[in-house]
Amino acid sequence: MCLKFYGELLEAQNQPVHSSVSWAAERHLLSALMWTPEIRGPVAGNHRTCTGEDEQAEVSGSHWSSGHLSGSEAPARETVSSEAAGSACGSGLPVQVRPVYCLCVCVCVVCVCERERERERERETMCVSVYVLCVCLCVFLHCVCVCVCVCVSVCVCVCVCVCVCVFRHLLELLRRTAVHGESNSVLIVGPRGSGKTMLLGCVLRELMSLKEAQKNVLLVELNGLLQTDDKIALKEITRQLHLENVVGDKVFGSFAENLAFLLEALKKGDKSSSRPVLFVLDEFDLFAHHKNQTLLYNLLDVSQSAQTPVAVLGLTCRLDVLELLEKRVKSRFSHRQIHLFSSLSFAQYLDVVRAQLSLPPDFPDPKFSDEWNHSVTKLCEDKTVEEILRRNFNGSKDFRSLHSLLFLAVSRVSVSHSTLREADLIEAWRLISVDSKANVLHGLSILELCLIIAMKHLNDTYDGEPFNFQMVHNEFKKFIQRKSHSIHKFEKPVVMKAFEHLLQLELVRPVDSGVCKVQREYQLMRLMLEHGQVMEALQKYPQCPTDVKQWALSAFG
Amino acid sequence: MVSTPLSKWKLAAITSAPCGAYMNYAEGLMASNIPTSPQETAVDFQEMGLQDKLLRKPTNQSITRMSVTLQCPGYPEDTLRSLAERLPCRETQLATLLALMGQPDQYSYPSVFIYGHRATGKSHVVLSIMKDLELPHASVDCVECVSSGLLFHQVLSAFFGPDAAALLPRCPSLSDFVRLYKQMSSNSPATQTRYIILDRAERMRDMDFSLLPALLRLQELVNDNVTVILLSEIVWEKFRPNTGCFEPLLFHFPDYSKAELVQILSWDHHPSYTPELYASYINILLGVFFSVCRDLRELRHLAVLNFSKFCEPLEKGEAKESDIHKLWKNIEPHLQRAMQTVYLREVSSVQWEQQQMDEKEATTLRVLSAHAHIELPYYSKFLLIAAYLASFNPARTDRRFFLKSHGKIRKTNFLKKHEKTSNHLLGPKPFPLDRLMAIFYSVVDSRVAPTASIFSQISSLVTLQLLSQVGHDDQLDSPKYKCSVSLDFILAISRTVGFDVVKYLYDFL
Repeated sequence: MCLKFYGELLEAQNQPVHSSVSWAAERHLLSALMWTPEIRGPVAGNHRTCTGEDEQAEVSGSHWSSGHLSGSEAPARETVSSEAAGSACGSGLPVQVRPVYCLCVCVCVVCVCERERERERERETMCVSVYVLCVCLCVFLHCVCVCVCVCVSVCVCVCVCVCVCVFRHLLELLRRTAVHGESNSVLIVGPRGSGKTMLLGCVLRELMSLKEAQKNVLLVELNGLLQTDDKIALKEITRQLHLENVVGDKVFGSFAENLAFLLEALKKGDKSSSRPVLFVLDEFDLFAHHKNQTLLYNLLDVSQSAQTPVAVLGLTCRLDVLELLEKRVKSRFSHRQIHLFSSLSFAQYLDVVRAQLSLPPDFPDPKFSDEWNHSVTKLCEDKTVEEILRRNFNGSKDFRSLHSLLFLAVSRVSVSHSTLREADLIEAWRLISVDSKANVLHGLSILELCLIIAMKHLNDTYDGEPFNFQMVHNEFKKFIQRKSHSIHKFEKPVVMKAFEHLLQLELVRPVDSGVCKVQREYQLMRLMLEHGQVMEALQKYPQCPTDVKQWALSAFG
Repeated sequence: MVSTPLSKWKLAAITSAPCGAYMNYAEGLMASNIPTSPQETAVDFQEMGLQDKLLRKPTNQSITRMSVTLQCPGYPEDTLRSLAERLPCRETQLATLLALMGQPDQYSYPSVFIYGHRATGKSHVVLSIMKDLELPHASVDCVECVSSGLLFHQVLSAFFGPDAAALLPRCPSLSDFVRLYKQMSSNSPATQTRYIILDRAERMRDMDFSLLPALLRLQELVNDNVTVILLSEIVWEKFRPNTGCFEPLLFHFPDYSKAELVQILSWDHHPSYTPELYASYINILLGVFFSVCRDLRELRHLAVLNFSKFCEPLEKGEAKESDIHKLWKNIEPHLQRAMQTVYLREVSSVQWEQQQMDEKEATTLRVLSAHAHIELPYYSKFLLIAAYLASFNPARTDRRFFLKSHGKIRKTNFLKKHEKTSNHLLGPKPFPLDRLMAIFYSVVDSRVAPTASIFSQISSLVTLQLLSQVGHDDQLDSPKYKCSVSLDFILAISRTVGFDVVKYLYDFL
């Protein structure tokens, strides 16, 4: 969302445009690539000026969604899996677009918000029309089965449609807790970088903008990385519910008692209804490692019994997370899971790249922005660039790796060359894709390299059995005696020191076996490098003596 | 020579490491002026079919390099220039880092992981940038942090002053840290990106398991403009937790080439000699050490230690500065000896310098390693020899070695070795006490009674860690031992008692 703030910001601050404009553009893009400001909305410094604007947009956006929700009824125990979405959206299409929502949710909210502002009066009708259009297209595609020529707009529509599905499903769930006081529990499962937190952030913001939810709901955010045991977690819950004063220095017998007291304290004056609490558990799987899973047990227990309305939202990247739960905990969970799998087609990926790199139309210097956008379009059509992007795409579909690639490329833009060039992307790709172990091998001394080769030979002869220093030294000595012209004989302690350096770099690793202490030279080790890696490093090694190379190439030491 | 403030802590922490005490000294050297050098990152790109495009790359880069350095808006230009001069051989890395950081008020990437070999200038470049450009930063050496609480304390006090750090509870958890950080940063939001620099980040893996993943996404957790920079010798793959985490931006500091090392080492030439002489000295030094060690600190240390020896013929008037060959002949064996002693830390730098002084008076002084002169009682020596034989010979060969009439064992049959590798490659095997005593009685010349003094000598050998007991201590009736000394050591020992141990070793028949 920070895309559009930037222009306004520049205008507001009356920055000199021309000399700094390319830098401004670059920085703007960099900040667009950074998700944090986007997720959290205006955070610090620059963004703060735009808060008012932002809120307005948010509110209008929320109306749009709530208008929808009243119309359609989400199934209560629906697991939004790819099959379900697939049948909804048409089988011929790349249906696997759901995870795009981490952009699309934003995009759709933003674009709808834009339109909202223009026609505030016809809000409801317009929204419905957008939705109907999407559905129509889906049905159309389903019937006609268009496979090949799927135009971009359709893709975007489908994306929006699918994300809206998940988005609305989740929102509806939370709204029920917030407004009607229903307890719920749900897990959002997806690989890292698939946008779980972002989805939840959008849903929560949407929810908090509902009038009836706003003053009623309490939000508790826990993170498995931070709250590493239940005691800390309980302290954090107390703090986030602002109940430190109420608890004071009471002593509780058990965790359950303590939690019950906290929830009791939230009851309203009339004692019949209490305020709903949303528990967000980031890195949900880590909570399962807590002792006896007390926290999870109690939270899910509360969500099952009709005490306080509680929604437990777990975010995790582990597919097998349910296996981690104890039986008593598992049985209290609603088994409602939302899976977010990345199944993006390359064409869509390219569009995302283009959209991410392009400057918004209201950029203060239209001439520059035109130039920039033109260069970006040209860049995306370039064969080499496409190849790079395809490789990155094949490596991982998540947007974080794309971001780091583009971040590196864009950070190379400077005043002297103010457009993004093909070379920048190639260089960025080179930095990203280089094998770090090869980098480390490049800096080893000749002696250390020889030891690596000796280990490689031992691995070849003994079929990957662990070896010790004595064997490596023996192999190395054989080489020195028989074939070497360039390498001199080294004292054993010197070789030992080189070996220990390799151990320190964790290129070799001790095999954990044996209870008693073993002398250093007889400790069993394994080489942590592949055959190919060693050979490749040898090719790149500066001024590598020929006899060493030949030794490495020979079949047996 | 400037000694850095970090030395005290480092000293305590590093002494266990192989190149312990001296590193502080060398680091002090480094801190005084570290010239470093550019790297042609010759990474081949065959996999992509982009060779032709990349071939143009180096020239392109070298043209833009200087201009890029000086083109970072938001920072004073003259500071940048002086910074580039102080880090003369790391321009590429400097420029890339500055580009990644962006202008001070902009958000930067949440976490950056910088790796490279020891003494390639990782910490120095990063810290110089921070200090010279006066950016808000907290620099923490993970070796110092025995608990994560110390780390939190240092970070908070660097950003928000000691008062903020005092608010931490006694054993702060990560949760406390994040809460305090949030609280503090809401009072004083970051106007510039705050940097947390974690040196020797590999140590963090031994701390709390959630510390590293949490710090990598600290920007998201505390909602502040903060970037975590991790510095390590070890590649990122070794850090990644099982379930993954936020991936930092990886950045490599390449090693110095030989030419660059010469250039850097030539910086600290002696004022009373010409730079050319020093350069040729450095070349000789590298000729000996380059194939073994590429650590800049170590090389600098060795260069400083041995320069006086190199200049000796010049001072005595035996050679002129142009007599490089003569000087080489003088210094070469000396450097070889240095490699076996001072490089291995068998003698300390001070001892090495003293030895050089003494050598002028008594040239015969042998440099001996600490292992070579250990004094043992007469029978202990034989016990040790017996233990060595028991450890490295198979039990079935004992008849052949230690019985006077060992019957008819055919030599060819006996020598047929079934083992693929000799015992000296596989290491010592455990043996029972009885076997040790039997071998001991047959190797020792005179008749010895199995008295308490003999047995107490065995246990004192265990205390000296020349033998090691296998299994539990409570096994009283038949304890098992293993010999844990090297062949060289046992040869030296047997020489003192006039016993030819090689004759009795199965591996050397």
